[in-house]
Amino acid sequence: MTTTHHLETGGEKLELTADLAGNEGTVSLNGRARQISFQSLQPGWMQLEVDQQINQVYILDTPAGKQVFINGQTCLVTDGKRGPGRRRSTGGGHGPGMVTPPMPAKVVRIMVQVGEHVEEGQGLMVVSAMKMEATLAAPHAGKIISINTELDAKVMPGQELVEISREENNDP
Amino acid sequence: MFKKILIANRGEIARRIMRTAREMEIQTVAVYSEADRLAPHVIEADQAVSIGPADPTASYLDINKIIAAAEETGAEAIHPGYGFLAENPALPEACEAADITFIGPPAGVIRDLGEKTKARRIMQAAGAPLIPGMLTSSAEPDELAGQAGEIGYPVMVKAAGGGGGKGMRVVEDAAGLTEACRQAMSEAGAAFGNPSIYLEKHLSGIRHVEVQVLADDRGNVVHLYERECSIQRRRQKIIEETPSPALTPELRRAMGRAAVTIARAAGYVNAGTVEFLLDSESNFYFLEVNTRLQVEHAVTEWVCGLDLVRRQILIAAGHPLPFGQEDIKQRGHAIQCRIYAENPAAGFAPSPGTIGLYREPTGPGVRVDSGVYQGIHVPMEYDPILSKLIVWGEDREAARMRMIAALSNYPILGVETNIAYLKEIMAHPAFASGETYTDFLDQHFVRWQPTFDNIDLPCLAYVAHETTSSAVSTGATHQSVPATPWQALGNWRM
Repeated sequence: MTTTHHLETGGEKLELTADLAGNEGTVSLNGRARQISFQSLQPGWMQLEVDQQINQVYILDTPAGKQVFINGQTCLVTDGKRGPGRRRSTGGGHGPGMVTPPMPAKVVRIMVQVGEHVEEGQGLMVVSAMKMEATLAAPHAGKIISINTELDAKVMPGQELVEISREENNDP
Repeated sequence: MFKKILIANRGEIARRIMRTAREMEIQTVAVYSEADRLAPHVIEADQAVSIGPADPTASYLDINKIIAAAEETGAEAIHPGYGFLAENPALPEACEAADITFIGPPAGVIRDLGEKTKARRIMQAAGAPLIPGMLTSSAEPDELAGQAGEIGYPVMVKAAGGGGGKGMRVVEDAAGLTEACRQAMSEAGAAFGNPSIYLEKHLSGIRHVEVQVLADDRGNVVHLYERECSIQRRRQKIIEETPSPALTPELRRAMGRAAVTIARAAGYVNAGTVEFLLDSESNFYFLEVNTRLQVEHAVTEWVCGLDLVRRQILIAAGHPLPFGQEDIKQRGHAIQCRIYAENPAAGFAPSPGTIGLYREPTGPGVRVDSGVYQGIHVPMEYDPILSKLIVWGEDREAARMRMIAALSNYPILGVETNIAYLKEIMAHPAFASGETYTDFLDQHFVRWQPTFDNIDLPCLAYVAHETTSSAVSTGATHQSVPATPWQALGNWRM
């Protein structure tokens, strides 16, 4: 059975065509064909043989895609066609697109002001708690509508600290 | 010997302390906040007492609740772990009032060494080499400016009321002093309830090398050699090792002797650590004493062949040290990596959440002290340390390669971790050659982003996983699909 997948990971897009019967077959990845066979050992743990090289692979399904661990490195692989909308998470336990602290914290630095245009990923403010400092980044590009806190304020997860207007987005 | 001990802590250290207590046939009492009801330290204890909401000030930092839990369960001793109340003299004082043994140094010693300028004065009187700087704290801008001029820029501003990097900042020249002091006093006030600060000379090209000491209540003091802790991010240690690649045997002996002298001068009892800074000319300077068991104690345990928690319990129970300095030898090399639930690629933002997949590396010379298990929810209220990965090897290079292999085999999914980041540090040529200074990460790992050696593999894995997941089966190969009675019934005919 042949299937095609459009995957995204680490900012790269890859197209795969898989011709698999049971647990083995050929996968063409960006034009290059690989022989693979695989075996699920336990939920989330798989042996994956690629061109006769054995790999231990660990996978967790998440709402954002599959989190994959191989040989000490972790990445998120998403299906470019499917997937939960165009929201891209840059990591951390943040809620979907809300500028909120990941833990009860104190505001130690505010780097933007109302009316300013920000890019996705741009640092907005720094919060501090339990020896850790975290920079809250803009989940999408837009204009700062309001800053709902101030320096030295104690803030909680779930509080929206910065409101950013959404830019007109041409993506589907 | 104690029949029952309460551990006033959580996570990996609470679990680790309980392990040794259990081996000594001592009953263990866990305390837990609402966020930790199903935490491993609770599950593995003999008894557990709920002490309040997740906010540590209302639970793990509440001395009254800790003492009440000990009295309620009949615990004869309390081990404070590290962090939380471990260096708060009010806890051993409360223990004494309640006739409970505190497993650690006396309250007075904790108090003396906890006030950093007082500690410096004690050390100076003992003849220990100090970082040039002030011996009393101040809040007067003129006095501070004058002192800074005498010390010579650059200077380091430090909080007098406590350590751990809080309030610390470097000032390059006179223009920056006033503002830096103002900020430091504010941070110190918030962290320790004491805004006093002092100044020291800022040393560069330095390493952080600390010496473990052990003292019984009869005045016997030994050192268990050094730990190299230079790799730090924002003054928080992430990698520790022993022996230090920077020490010659002479320097090792000198620092060990200095640490013992310092411990004696402070009247130290039980386990503690004397921290030093080592400069590029192999001069060492007293930094501070940590009056607690440290996160990185495990590397010392391995290389010296001792169980430090066991030693702590025995000392607290009144046993003298059964060995002398000449009996303590280092063997092989140990390295520890702290595994944090954080995302190094996103400013090290803490990453609370549920651990969907968790498997520990194993094998000869591999030890994992973990505070989590697969399925647990990592709460956001606490230090995001998940576990410690410690390896031992015959020599430094063997240990380094073993750590790389162990990190490669430590999948933790569902939260972000620093595992890939740690692996790259381990593999870096500067680490391999022992060039570990406190500016290591600033030099080599600024704005780190993860790379994937072979991006094809996770994509192939994606496809393979999709295939196995969609295969019809009654056993759940797909983790997140719950079994339903309709699946369990299997085929049936009319």
